[in-house]
Amino acid sequence: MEVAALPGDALAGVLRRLPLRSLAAARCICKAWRDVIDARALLLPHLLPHSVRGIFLNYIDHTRHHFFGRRRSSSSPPPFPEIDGSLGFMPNDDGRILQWSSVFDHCNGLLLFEHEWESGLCVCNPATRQWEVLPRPEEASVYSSLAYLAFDPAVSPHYEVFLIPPEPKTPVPSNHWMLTEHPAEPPYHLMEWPPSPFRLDVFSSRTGQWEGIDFVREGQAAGTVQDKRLDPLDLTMFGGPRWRYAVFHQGALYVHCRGPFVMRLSLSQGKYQVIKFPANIEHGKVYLGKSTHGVCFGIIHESQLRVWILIESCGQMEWVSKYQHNLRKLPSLPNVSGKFMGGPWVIEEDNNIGESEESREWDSDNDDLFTVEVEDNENEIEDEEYHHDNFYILGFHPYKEVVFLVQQFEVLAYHLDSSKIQYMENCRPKCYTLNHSNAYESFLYTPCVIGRLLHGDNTDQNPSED
Amino acid sequence: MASAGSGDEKAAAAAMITLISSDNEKFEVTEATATLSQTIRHMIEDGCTDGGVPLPNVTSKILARVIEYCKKHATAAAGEEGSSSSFSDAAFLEVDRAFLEELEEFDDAFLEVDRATLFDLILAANYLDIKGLLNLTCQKVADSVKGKTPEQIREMYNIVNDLTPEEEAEIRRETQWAFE
Repeated sequence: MEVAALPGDALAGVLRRLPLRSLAAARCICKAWRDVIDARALLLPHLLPHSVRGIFLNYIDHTRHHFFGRRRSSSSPPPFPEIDGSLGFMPNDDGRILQWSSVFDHCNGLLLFEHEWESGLCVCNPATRQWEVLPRPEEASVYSSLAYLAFDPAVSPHYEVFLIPPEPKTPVPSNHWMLTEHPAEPPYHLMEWPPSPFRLDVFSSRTGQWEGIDFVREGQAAGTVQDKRLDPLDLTMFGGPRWRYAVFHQGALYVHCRGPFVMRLSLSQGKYQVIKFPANIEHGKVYLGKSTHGVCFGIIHESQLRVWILIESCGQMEWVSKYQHNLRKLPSLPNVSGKFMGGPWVIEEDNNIGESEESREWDSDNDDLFTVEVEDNENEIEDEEYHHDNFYILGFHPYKEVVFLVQQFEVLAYHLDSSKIQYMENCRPKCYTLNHSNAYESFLYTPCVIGRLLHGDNTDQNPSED
Repeated sequence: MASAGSGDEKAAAAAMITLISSDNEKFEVTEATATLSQTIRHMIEDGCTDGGVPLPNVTSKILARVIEYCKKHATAAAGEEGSSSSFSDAAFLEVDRAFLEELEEFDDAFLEVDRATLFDLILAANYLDIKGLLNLTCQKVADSVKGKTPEQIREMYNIVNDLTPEEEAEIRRETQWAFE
């Protein structure tokens, strides 16, 4: 009896217990091993996104993004896959570090961003160091729309990029005289928003092209163009963080739109649906994200953090309130962060000062956390109001009941079920000297080691693919 | 975890099952021991165990070892059930911990076998569908493979590399990071 004689089931039983690197290497032992691993897709769960490695951050009036993630340690081997958050594998003129970039979106390990090397949109995978440049869309301007990624490596290696215009095109002035002769046409500000059909520019990596796709609405419109302009939550302008993100979940793209509402786009059906916000929210800092429960919606207002999850049943969408926490119970981070020994994460700097002697891997289950007790402090409110209202949501942990919060660049992981917090680190890079008090945009990064892009490490040696 | 269809726990525990190895040796075991095997559990549920359960894929040598494992772990399962009712009792937890340690020691000693026996145990555990035993034996082999180069693994287990050079190059290209 030898190992080669083990039937597929038993051999798979052995192989599925191997750590990732050994399992991948085991594919080149012999045909039988390779076939067992491939037929049962044993590598797949390791390669699909399953952990949070850090957060890509954009800053207001700053030239490039920075990666805020696990501190590297010189004493232990780097975690797999090694991430170059500065995207140093992208081509540039003289090997210097990227000078100009801005991240637009992240979805299941792929990053959508603008890059100095080639103006326009790029998609890259920081884990496999592969990338490709998108062709320019014919009509829509990348700059007047928000661009979102849709990618699910468990389903397909292909991705889509959606351009969502913030408002409808204004009527052409030269035709204006005609409007007076067609009184049935409503004035611009009373037009229904979003319209149906809603034509969106969609790039598909399958065809390598942009295409105008009509999405037909199911159900009610959100309102009129005027309603949208009066959105009290309009924070898209500079001066504060942008909080209009999208979530790709089970084949549908959920986009947080001005209006305020969430638009659910189904590419396969060519349909969309307007989902109103969970409560009549007029103030506060909102965030649309993905948690263990799927699509979720968070808001911080007057130091109250509230989280809803989206439940779908029989085509009906319903927000269910899941958590409510009083952030006043938290210590004011800028005042206390000096007491911490330094968090497990670090902001990536220009000269890559990511190295550190101490080995600090963040493990949200086992790391020391401190529970925050309710403070019976009578003078807490006056003094700390300012600080507590400065909390923003950086992102929801997609695999744990954790939300990342930021206050004046100090980042913490907040455990929603236990109210425990852990200080992660300060996320202001040294080269960012402006007087803004927070990062502008944040994208939780979950590495994915599959999905093929045009250029990069694995394809460079293959001239035929160039 | 109670055995299927048994209203009377004691009667079920006392019921004996006869297992027949490929070389026709008969083993009398309690139902509690036999039902660690999902395969046998289903046979009992279907009522086809009268006159013994023939196991043509398992030799008497291996079956004896498998039964040894099942007896030990069936006792452990019974112990767990018994103590779960008085879970808050610290003394019981202490007993549990000692028992788990003993079980771990048993498992370690159980795995001290030659390679051929280990593979036969994997085959038997797979055929009889005994999760714990399959886990234990597969992990042992996986541990021996872990961290070794493909060449070392082939040498250790006398595996002939039947991949063409092109196929092997393709695999190395697909998962280059695994070979760095």
